[in-house]
Amino acid sequence: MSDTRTAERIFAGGDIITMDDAHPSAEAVAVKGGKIVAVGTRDDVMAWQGPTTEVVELHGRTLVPGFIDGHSHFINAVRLGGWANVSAPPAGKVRTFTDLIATLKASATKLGLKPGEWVMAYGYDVSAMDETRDLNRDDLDAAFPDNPVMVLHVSLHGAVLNTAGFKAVNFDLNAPTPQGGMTLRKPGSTEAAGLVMEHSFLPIFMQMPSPSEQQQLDAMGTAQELYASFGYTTIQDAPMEPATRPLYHKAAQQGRFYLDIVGYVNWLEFPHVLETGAEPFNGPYDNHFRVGGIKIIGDGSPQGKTAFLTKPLLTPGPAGEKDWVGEPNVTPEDLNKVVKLAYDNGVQVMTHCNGDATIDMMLDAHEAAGAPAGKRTVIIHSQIVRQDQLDKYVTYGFLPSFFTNHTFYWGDVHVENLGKERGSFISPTQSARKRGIRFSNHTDFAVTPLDAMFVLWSSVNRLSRSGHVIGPDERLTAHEGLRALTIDAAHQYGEEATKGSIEPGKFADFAILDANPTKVDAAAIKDIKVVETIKDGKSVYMRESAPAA
Amino acid sequence: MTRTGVWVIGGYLGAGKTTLLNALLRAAGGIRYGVLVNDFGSVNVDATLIAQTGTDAVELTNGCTCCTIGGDLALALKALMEREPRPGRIVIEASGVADPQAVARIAACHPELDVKGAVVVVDAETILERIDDKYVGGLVRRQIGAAGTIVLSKVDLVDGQRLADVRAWLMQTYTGIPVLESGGDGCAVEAAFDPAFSATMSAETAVAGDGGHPSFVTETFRATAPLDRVRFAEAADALLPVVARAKGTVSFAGDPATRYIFQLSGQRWCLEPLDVPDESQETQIVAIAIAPRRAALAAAVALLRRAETVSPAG
Repeated sequence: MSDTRTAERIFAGGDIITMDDAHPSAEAVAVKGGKIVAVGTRDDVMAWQGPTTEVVELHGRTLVPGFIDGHSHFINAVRLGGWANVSAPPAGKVRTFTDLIATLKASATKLGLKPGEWVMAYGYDVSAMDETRDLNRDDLDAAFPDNPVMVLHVSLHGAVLNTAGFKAVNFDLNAPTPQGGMTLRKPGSTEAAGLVMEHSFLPIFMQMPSPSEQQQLDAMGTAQELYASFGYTTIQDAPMEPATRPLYHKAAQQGRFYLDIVGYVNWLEFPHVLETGAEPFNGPYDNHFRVGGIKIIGDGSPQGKTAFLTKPLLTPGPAGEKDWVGEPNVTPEDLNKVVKLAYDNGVQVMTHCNGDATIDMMLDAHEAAGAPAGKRTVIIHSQIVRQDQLDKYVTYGFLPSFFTNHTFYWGDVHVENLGKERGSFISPTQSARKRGIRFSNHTDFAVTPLDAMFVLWSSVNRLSRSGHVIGPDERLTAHEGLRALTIDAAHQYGEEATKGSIEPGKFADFAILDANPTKVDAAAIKDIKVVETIKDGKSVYMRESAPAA
Repeated sequence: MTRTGVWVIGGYLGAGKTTLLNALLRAAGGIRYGVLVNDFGSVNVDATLIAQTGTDAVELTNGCTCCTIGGDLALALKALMEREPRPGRIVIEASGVADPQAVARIAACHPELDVKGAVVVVDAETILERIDDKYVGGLVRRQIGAAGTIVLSKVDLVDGQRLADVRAWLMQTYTGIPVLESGGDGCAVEAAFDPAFSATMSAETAVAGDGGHPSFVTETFRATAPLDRVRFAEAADALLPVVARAKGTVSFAGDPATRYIFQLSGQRWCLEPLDVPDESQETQIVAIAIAPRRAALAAAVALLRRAETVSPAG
């Protein structure tokens, strides 16, 4: 028998969800040269077995296509690389200050930090912990007398520092609170207690040393590991900062990428990038990196009350404004110009639009550019989209990338701010699906945690923190929800011919799950763990505590 | 520790923010500026000017507006303040959709920055339509409300009726905020960024109240050779009935070692010798008056030309 019929690996012995509508399930998959060569019954696929073939027994676990990140900020994973995760469940394990300090200690030991070196952590959110007051510098000083410590708030808009930390950034503990700031004080004292938020945090933010290029290059590995640990094999950074573009090219040249990274150019520098030919738009992956198009930021966020709406919020604006509708982050003139420029040059447009007024602006821009077909324009978030706008999505081929994690994290807040009808229609996945719209679903990491199974759970359950179902009619089945993380997300990138489903000829990008999300109870989807991630046929992540059988 | 002064230039797309910024750099007079710009496309700030004046220009990337914290701006300010030597003054040209007040608040958080104020440029040609735009009307109105000084641009491009309508609308809607009128050349620049002028304009605007909120116009006088002292004094007297405030630096013939600061305020003017005279022999005087006195101001400032003819020493 010829070598050409010998697979490198064959996966069998568990459920295989192919996401290929023609053949939704299979018993085995054979892989060779980084690609899928056979999918089907165990007998058929075993025809590919040769003396060198590794047969990977799934032992009842479930094989799915590697997850494709609809939208996130990979650079955040690079920057948070060496930091301790002090998130409360479900994003982490920290419930008490004792847990938190133990996590910091473990991180400092792991990194071999010397006295004077920063101990950094992210994800602090007292409202999700079993504590009744905020963490303060006394808590931290006892454990870290000689190291500056900064525990970033989950919002990334503030932090708790210890005394050494405040000293290291020259923060005057008695400085008055600036407008728009919040400095927690020690009881009966004018001294800062530890937590500083918003504009009080800015002076600290402005004093922190920026990571060097080398530090960022060195963090690429752990950053990808974080994504791989949740089953992602294709990931996004949008928009790239101007300084991040050369960084990614360098990382690619040095062979530091093993997952596929798709970067989107910041629209503000797009004309310059286009003029100078600095980026190969629409080029193939070069050592796992490619530039996918441009990212425009159309407005803000609903929870920040900076999404741009056609009808006012029911609650006051961020500065107490009445009848607040938010504001766009781009002028209609510039938006029309940049969309046209991108279309004319065959460059994909991805626009962050949370509010329906911003979506109207994008629809206008598309029309002003002559409403060309086949552009696969992506409307990131599309959270407060209207029914009539979804109809136009169909007409214009707009692809929403929804954000159903919001139903859990801010669902209750949205209903309060937007009213029941608008609040419940947030990320209307089922309304889009019924229209035949293909959409992805994303984490917007670091805005919400990367866990793809949590994303799936949120799209199937739409359960808020307080236990309310936010828009029951918009819930998806688990299979429909998986499409948004696999084949339809691949379609968003124009990569559906090579990724997103388990079919012969496609890349052998898989995630192995410890349970089948289409078979478990809907509520249990979030407890499913990724036990292994495979990119181009090679294992790139193995869960340490995964039981052998 | 001397804090670095920061100005914010706000206003909608196309209002003339960059024209004003270029004019400011042109009039830099040895001050090294740090400039933050937020442009779509190429940077419109005059590259030659940036090179000539040693200006540090940093582009903002307008990253995440979900973040009210403005990390992008904070990092750009941080970068500017780490330059060696530090810029003498910083100007932030806000994006066409930015709230100048929010930008100023972020800058104010840097312990070594001193926010001097927000100048918002309003386009006389388009403003009355723009304020009713379904997308940006609200934000344009809020931008103007955030101004310490309003620069009303392109007044040379509109007819008298239009200018009157715009003035009336600004007066009624933004009572108490001084308005400085400017043609296409950004000529109002010295007055817009000088605290002495804004103080005068604010005071007069406050006194005027609802009834007669005036706009201001400016004229600049420049001379390269030293002036005749007697003729200068006569011309300065003639400015008094017309001018609300004037300020500048003067050199006189026969007195090469001394440079004077010329100040006109209220109903008097004075000359004070500069503590540290520079090498220059040039004279530059900026004068402002309320808009109805535009012609009178031009005529009065033109009279200063007479001092260019130096009478024989006698």
